[in-house]
Amino acid sequence: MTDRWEGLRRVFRLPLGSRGIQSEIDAEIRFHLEERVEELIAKGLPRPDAEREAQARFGDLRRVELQMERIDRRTARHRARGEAVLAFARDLRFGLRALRRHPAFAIAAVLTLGIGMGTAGSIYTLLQRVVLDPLPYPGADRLVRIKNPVPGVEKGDEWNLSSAQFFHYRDRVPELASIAFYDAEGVNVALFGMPKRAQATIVTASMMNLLGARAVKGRLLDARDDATGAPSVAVLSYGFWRSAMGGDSTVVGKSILVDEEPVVVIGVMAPGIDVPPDRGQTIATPSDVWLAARLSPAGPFFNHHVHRTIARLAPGADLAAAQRRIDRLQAGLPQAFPNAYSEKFFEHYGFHTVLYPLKQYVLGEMARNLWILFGAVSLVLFIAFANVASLLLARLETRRRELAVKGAIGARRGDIAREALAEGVVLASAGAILALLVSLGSTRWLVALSPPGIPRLDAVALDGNVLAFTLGLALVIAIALAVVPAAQHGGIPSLAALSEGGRSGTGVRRQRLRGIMVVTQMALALMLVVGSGLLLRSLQRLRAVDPGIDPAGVVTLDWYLPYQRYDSLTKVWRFHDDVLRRIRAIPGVVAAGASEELPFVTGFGCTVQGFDEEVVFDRLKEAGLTTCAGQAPTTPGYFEALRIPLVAGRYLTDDDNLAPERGAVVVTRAFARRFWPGENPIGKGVNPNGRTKPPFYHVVGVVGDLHGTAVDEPAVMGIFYPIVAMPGGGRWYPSEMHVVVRTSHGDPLALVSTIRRAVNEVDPSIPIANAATMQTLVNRSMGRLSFTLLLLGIAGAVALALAAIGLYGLISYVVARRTSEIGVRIALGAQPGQVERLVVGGALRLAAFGLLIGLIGAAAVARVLGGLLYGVAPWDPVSYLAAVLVLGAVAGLAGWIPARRAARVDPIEALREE
Amino acid sequence: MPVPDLDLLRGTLDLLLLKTLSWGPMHGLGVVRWIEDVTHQRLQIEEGALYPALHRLEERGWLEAEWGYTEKGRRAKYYQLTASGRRQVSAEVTKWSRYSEAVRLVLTTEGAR
Repeated sequence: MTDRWEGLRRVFRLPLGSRGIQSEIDAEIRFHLEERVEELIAKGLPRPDAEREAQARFGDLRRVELQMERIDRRTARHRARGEAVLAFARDLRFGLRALRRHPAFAIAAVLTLGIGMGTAGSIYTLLQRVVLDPLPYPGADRLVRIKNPVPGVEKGDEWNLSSAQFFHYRDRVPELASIAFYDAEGVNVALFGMPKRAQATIVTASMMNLLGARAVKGRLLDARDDATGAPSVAVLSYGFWRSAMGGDSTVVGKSILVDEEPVVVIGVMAPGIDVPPDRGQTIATPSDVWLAARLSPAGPFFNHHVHRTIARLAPGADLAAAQRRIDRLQAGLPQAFPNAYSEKFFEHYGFHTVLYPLKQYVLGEMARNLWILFGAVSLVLFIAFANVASLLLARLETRRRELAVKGAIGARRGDIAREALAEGVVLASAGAILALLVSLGSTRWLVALSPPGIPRLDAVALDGNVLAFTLGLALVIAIALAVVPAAQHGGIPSLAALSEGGRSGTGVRRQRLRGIMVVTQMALALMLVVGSGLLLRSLQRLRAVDPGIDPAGVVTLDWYLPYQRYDSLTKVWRFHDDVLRRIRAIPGVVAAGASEELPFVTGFGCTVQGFDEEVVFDRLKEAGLTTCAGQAPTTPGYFEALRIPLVAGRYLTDDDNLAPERGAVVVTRAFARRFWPGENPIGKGVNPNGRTKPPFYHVVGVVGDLHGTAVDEPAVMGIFYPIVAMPGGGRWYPSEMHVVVRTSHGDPLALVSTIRRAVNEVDPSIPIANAATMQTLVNRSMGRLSFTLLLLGIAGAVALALAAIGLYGLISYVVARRTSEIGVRIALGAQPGQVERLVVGGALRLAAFGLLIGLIGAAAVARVLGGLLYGVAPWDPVSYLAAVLVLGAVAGLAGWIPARRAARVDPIEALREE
Repeated sequence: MPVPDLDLLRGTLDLLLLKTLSWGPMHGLGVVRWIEDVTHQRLQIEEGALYPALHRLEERGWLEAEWGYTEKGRRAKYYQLTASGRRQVSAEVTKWSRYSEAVRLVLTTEGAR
């Protein structure tokens, strides 16, 4: 019996189909019955009886068969699953073993794939959250913002809404289901005596609905709170409620002081709801307190455009229809609000109204930048993939002998293909794991590095989408990596073909494919490097722009004096004078001052000025420009603290406030150039707030140019008035004052507590807020731009590295293939130099060809980058030349190293390889 | 003989099959014949229960089956123990010994009144 068993081949496979199972069961039972029947016949029973007897012993045959079928089907399922897992595990082991024999290749491939997929994954996350996802408001895709472009003031300048416009449009535009606006300002909040600085967001009641806000305690603002003369109420934001009031559950109904006014808290808002960040905001401040706007439809109305709007399109209406309606309504503004609007105003300022989809407005340029980034990273990924595929192809070449032998002993194409797939899967899986790690790290790094004001960046985190993206990418790459060599392979080489030395037709085809890959890689790499080069030079130019101030060693903070107790400018001045004197007495403080405006932070705004010379107005009208400028009440010491250079005349002094009838003002150079071009501005007459009646202020000093929010904007036309107004002159009231203090040594932030004590000594109810070093604020303002540039620069660097690896791999391979040829040549007396040139020559020619094509591509890339560039032309020769040289050098090095190794080849060894 | 509890019977049947096959591979009929021979016809395996039991043992991985040829040249399905099947046999035999020892104790010990 045992002999038979050894002779049997183990080919048992449980048939997969149910028909197969059934036929086996059938056969098994039939055998049993047949044998039994023969037994019974041997005992003397006639056949029919024997058959009946045998069947009877089985009992219900059908039921037994069904039972067996059920069991067998279960077994088949388990087996199949087990087999598949085993086969997969086996292939993976093969793949791992094969890769372990060539660790350099495996590491290079995994690194390449991991970094490529990882960066693609995190940029994709960014793109998804910041650009693709809708804003976190209900029906966000139907929300719009209303802006008023004023090309007459400054090209590209856009103003917000006036209250006149709000009331005018509110009931007359059926295409907009609701319009709401918000203003944000810093306020002093006093909770049980403790003063605190907070961010108040003043809204019309409809805003609560538009934001999809809910209350977790009490209720939210509604129409009755928004009526003129309604009692002052406030809703607290969740964060503020927890941090400032300790999550006090009895807060509803309590009264707090907001800017000295008693306000009743009516509710607490649910977390995670806020107005969208503003474009170009350097610091993104979350709302703490929500107040009702309580505007009166009866006015008074001014030509003040400060309200930021959110409106919802009515169901069925589209943006174009709403836009048309608003265009028609605009003509009615001067008639309805003669105080605020005139026909001349529209003409002069080019004032008109435009609707933007809210998301598009909030994102601004960020969307385009992120898409560009994504494009760049995709290119990098493609280069990475080409690299790895090329390397795999090369490896397959070197294994042709091994494969031929395998084929001779019976390996099927399917098996070899499965092995290739296994290798691809192992590589791609390892790459995917690395990619996830890279993604995690780089996403966190991106978020930490990025400037505030990029909308919703704080909501970015690695999530399921990225995982899916990375894994999907890994899968695609795995399959492609396996398919490319398999397709290329076209069949297992026969041993006979091998012995010919391998210059077959298919070899040439493969060479061409790899050649194409090298050319593509070089071209893409050049495009990326040129792009990065252009942007890096832009960044350089940006950083080189004179900021107009010296931010090192300066700390800034702000405070706000409520007008209830500081009801005259003299009182305001006295407060500032007292406090600033104390601050200047702090050891280490060199200078201190305050102003309503701060470069790189506040933007300086645009307030109309009046001039005593008619010719100024005539000149401006001819040029189509307006008289508005950045007006700021300022204390002495401000310019000195920021080290704003004095161009002519003098800075403001204490006397200008003690003797305000002198009417001294200081202007920036840009202001002087705009309004008094070619003339000496000292002594010229000007008045704030558009006043054209005497008495006029006179210019006593000119300071260097300043920037409103970012260095790439045109210089601000700034005019700095003393705190105390000229008697009989224009009126103003300074809102938030920004204080700047320069210290000669140490960390400027260390002064903050001492400054707070100084303020407390003068008035303990005034809180200070937003303490930061000036350097931080300047960096932040540059942040948005340099963020994009930095990332693209990195993409370029990665592309460069990958191209180098790819080229190195290719040339190494070429050398390996031609080892025997090289051996022969050396044996025949070729010099090492000649050998190197021979080997490297062909590959470098390819690389050069790639660079040529890349130049064309790079020009296209430069066109796309267009608006991002600063101070650098798209055809900047330095960038292009540098990129070509760098890539050329890299290619040269990548080719030279293996070539040198080739030249050292022992000719005997080389010949033996054959 | 009164029909005993089905579960008990199935367990016993499994034990008998496994033990029989521990002597070497057999087809289903072979197992039945061997048991009938050894017990002098006293133990008759119910044929309707035999094959489902064998297939279940195969599902649990204690047996593996192969198609082969009998001496007469007929195709038959042969079963043999797997490694885990072998371990199972000794476990089952031990269990049965303990069980039968327990039964013996009950039958032989004098009871309380």
